[in-house]
Amino acid sequence: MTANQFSRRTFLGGTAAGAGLLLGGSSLITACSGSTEPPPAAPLTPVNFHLSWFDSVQFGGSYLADANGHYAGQGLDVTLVPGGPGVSPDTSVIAGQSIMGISAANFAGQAKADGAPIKIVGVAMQRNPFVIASLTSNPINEPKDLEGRRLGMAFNNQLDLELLSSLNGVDVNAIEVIQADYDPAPLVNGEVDSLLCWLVDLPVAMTVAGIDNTTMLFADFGYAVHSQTYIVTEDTLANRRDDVLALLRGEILGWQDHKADPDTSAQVTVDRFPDAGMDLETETVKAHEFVKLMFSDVTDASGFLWWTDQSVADNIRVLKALGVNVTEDFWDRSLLEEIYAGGPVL
Amino acid sequence: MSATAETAATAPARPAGGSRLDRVPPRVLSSAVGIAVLLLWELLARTVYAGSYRLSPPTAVVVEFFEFRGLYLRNLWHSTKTAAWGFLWGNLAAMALAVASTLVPWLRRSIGAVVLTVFCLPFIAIAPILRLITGPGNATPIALSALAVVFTTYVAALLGFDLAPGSALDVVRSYGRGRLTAFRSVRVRASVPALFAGLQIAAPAAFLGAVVGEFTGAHRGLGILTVRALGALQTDRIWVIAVMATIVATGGYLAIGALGRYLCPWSPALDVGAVPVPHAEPGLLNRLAGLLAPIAVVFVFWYAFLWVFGIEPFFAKTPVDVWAELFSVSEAPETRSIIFGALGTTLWTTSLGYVVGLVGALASALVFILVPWLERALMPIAVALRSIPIIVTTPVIILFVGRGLLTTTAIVAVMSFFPTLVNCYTAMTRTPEGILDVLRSYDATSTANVRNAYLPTSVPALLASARIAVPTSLLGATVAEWLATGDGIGAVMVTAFTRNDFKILWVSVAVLTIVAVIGYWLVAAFELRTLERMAPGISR
Repeated sequence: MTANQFSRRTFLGGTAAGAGLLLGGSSLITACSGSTEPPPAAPLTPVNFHLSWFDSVQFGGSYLADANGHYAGQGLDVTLVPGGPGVSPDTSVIAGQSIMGISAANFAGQAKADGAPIKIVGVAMQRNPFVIASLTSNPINEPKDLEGRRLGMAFNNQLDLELLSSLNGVDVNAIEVIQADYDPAPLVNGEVDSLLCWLVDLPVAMTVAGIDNTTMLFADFGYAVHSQTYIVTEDTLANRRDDVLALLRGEILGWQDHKADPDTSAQVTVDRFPDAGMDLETETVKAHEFVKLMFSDVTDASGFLWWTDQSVADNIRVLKALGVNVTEDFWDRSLLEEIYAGGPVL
Repeated sequence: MSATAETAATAPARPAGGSRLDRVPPRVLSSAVGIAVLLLWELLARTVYAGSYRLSPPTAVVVEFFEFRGLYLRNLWHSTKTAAWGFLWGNLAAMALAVASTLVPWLRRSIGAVVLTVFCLPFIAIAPILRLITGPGNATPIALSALAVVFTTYVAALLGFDLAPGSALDVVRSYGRGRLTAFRSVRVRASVPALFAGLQIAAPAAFLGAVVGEFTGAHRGLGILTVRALGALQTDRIWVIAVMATIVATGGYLAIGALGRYLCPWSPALDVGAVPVPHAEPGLLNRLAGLLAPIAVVFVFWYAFLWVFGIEPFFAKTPVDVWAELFSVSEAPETRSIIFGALGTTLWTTSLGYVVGLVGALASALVFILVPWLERALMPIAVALRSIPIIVTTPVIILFVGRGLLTTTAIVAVMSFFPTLVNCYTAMTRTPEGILDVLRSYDATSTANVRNAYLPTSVPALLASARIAVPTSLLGATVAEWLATGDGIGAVMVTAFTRNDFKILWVSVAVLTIVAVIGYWLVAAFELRTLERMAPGISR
């Protein structure tokens, strides 16, 4: 079935032989996932899906969805648009250039509070991936340890640090903040004692380089902000609901494949972007870390991208402390409810 | 400053005598300095900075390059291609505007104002707005790259057209032919040297635009590879990219200079820095109209931009919105304190770097003129360094200065230092031989030579460099604040953008652009007054 779709897609798209080889290799996983989508009858609908960062295994499930034909199986021809430090996926969605984008509840929430008509329709990371990373020889295990230490972070995380501090009774003025961004070198060189970063980013680079490090997850200390959230506009929800449903189904199938075999997901990612110079070992470690952030008891019980009402209440409270005022209607779970009507696995 | 090589060879304006080193061929001297720098670099990287993830030794850089040469060359090719397209479109636009300004003189002020305003727009804030218009793909990097070159090429082309010899224009006129013929047969030819000097400066600028453009989302390119390498502790990779970017930018600079000399061998290349500012029209009313018309044109363009591209109200802020955000809405006082507080920091660090860069450049130019062997050894390096994109220099400066406020100052100083040095030095080498002869006959000391000959001859070049350095310094400062320090208006813009706060973003862009334009005109006014007083013949 899957192999069939695959060659169909190859014919339709006129894909090169090399890509066919790659896809053939990964069709194995699809067979395991037992997907039963019907072959597309109509020509594929082209849509843009705006990712939140440069090409990375952070979107491994999406690459698998493409490689394993899940998007095509849903009748979509999906272009995965890369992000970067100088672009916001929210703007691409609001401007109607992308049907869906990946953002975080705080960024998308700010746009929503300013009047942008957007909604969250899926949450890939219920646990926020922000951490304080430190060297194991000089560890930061809880927020209180930050007092009197030097912290390297990007300046636009100031509010997040203040919030973590106030949630945990830490004097934020006792933390010496030094600008550092996308770069673990200041910590390794001893210019700072800690870094505010993503669990799956700089700490992995240090681990691969053989540097022992300790991470303290923000989510374990009250910082409840949904991350890697899937956002769409209200207009899209009203007029192109079926396309959004199809895209979400493709995503879910892709991420189920990723969960089943993170190693292959890393391999597919590295092969897909030969000009990025990615390191397979690093991407493989990350692929496994992302599974831990994206899958939990909640998703086991209700399906990938799901969130609980309790987590929405927590988010609203924490976002308010960040100066972002949103209400429950910022989250719309009706699409996932429809998709998972038959159970938490597609 | 492609003229440097020739003037250095013949330089009539040098003090006699001097060191034995003066007899060593320049090539040997600069090679010796280059080798010394490489050895010192290798030594530092292997000792003081060993294992620091900061400085890679040159040998490791070479090994890394050859190991992953396919990866590096593909990314280099991509960024270079983007920059080349931007270079082409930006320069075509600039030349078209310069032609229009020359043929229809009453348009000149308004076109000049719009082009200057575009040049003063902070790159890091307009990149995301461009992305909004163009959508995914390579259009945003190309557009940014084009915007980065328009102003300098426009100024250079305009200067070139204006430099047409009056006698030749008179001949055309005496045959009863019009402006168009004069333009075709005289001005176009006359513009070649100045135009190519402008294109030389445009080459590295286009590269910078392309790399910043990649930050708005792309699959490949040197900018993306840099960010990836920083996050992954791949120090060797960062240095390979820095070295490649330097070689390509310098190569472009030298190649265009060579092409200019090939096309126009009869005339020494000029620098854009030598552009005299136009005379203000006499009369208060005329002056006022001359000032207000361009401002009005800029506002018309602002509205037209929003309207033509149909930008959603959520993103699009008009001048009225910006005014309201700053002065009438309830959060206005808070907005003002954020924006002007940050602006204060930026202006303080930038002006310090600006002054240090200009004064240092003038002092170095004097040292070079008095100690010729030093000039021969170091000038080629200065010419090369001048063309390195700021995004590549920033990590190196962070290495030595850290990430404090001083980093912005250092980056701004470096950005204004090299062009000013090259311009001032070249001007000094053109000191009329007659003046030096007079001084020599009085047995004047070097100090007297400096005071009476070299300093005065370099003033026009210094002032012109100072004028062009206003917007480039602010550009450098905002990039530094973004990448290194997290302070000032650059940080406010990036924060506003990542938080989807378009009100603050537009207010910052408007305020910073106005400051840059005002700074430019203040220096231009000072330049005009000084030149009128010093040498009424120079300013037209």
